[in-house]
Amino acid sequence: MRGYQERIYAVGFRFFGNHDDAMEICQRTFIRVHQKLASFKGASRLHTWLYQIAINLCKNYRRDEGRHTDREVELSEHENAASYDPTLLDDLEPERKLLRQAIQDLPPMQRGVMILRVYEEISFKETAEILNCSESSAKVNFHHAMLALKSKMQDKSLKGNAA
Amino acid sequence: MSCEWFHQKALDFREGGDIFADLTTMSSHLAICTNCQKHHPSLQEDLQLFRQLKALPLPSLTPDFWENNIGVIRAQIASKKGWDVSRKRSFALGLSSLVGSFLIILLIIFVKDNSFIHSFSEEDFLEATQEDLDLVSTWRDLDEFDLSSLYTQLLPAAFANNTESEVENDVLIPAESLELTETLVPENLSDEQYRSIFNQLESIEI
Repeated sequence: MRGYQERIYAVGFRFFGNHDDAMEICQRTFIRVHQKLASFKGASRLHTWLYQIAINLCKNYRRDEGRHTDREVELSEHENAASYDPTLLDDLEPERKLLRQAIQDLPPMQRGVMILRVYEEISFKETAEILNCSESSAKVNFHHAMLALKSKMQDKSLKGNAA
Repeated sequence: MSCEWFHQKALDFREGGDIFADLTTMSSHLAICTNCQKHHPSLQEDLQLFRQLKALPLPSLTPDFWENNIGVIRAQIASKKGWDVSRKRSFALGLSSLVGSFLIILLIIFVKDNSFIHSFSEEDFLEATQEDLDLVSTWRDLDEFDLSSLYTQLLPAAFANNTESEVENDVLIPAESLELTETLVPENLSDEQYRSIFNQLESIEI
């Protein structure tokens, strides 16, 4: 479980760019896995199924945020407050901060495809399965995500050169 | 790495193939090979972006972090289980209340419908159709039905607005009929003839 936890946490962190949301996604994913384990028929691989749950939670996270009970939020906030070192995140170079922000600005679908492809190194076929879309749709979303990121980074470098 | 290898990788990448394992090698080759730079100008940007993306760090998590996380997950699963049980109980309670209410409404409707028999008033009788009367006769014991009121109150009331001639036409038996009856049953019949006619009349089902 720990191995999967790290990967799901990483997906959550890449998706939201902050520790608390990543932690929340990680916890909710495993709670959902616990609830739905009986219905897992093994049609897809376990990690595909896990990514599917995690990415769906990420995409719906903001919408669902208000629905969760106060008790859940209290529990999570209490535990999330400790156990990580933020210095590595705070000391990012401006270019990296910009890139992280550019990722956050991508639409959820493009963000999901980009994270699964670049960071998790999952094939387009499996990415499409995880995101419940066609392979060509996954490729198009990835292409648009790359264009958007390159555009933002070029804008920044142009502004930097001009200054 | 050769240009041929790089070219094949670039084609694979365009087809959706995986190049992330060879990202560093490809970048190194592209940095020094002007020929490949010329043939794959967009790939150079892509590789640079991938390397930048890959270089973005994740938080440095302390060793007790995962143990805490598992603790939270366990606690939340336990609290959700409790919540599920209470939700099922509430659902069962709500459902039984709903069914109970429905049964009470059915009972009220049933009682109300049957009370029609007991509250059958004189006015109802005057306006009643044959079906209503059949219903009354089905449900009500004839012994309880006050036939005397039919002649003393109900029939006079029914014809209260009719003219005398209308009443005669509608109610009174025409004199010709009486005469016909008399001719059918003559006075000078013997006892046996009377008995025979009586038996025939008795056998007629009304």
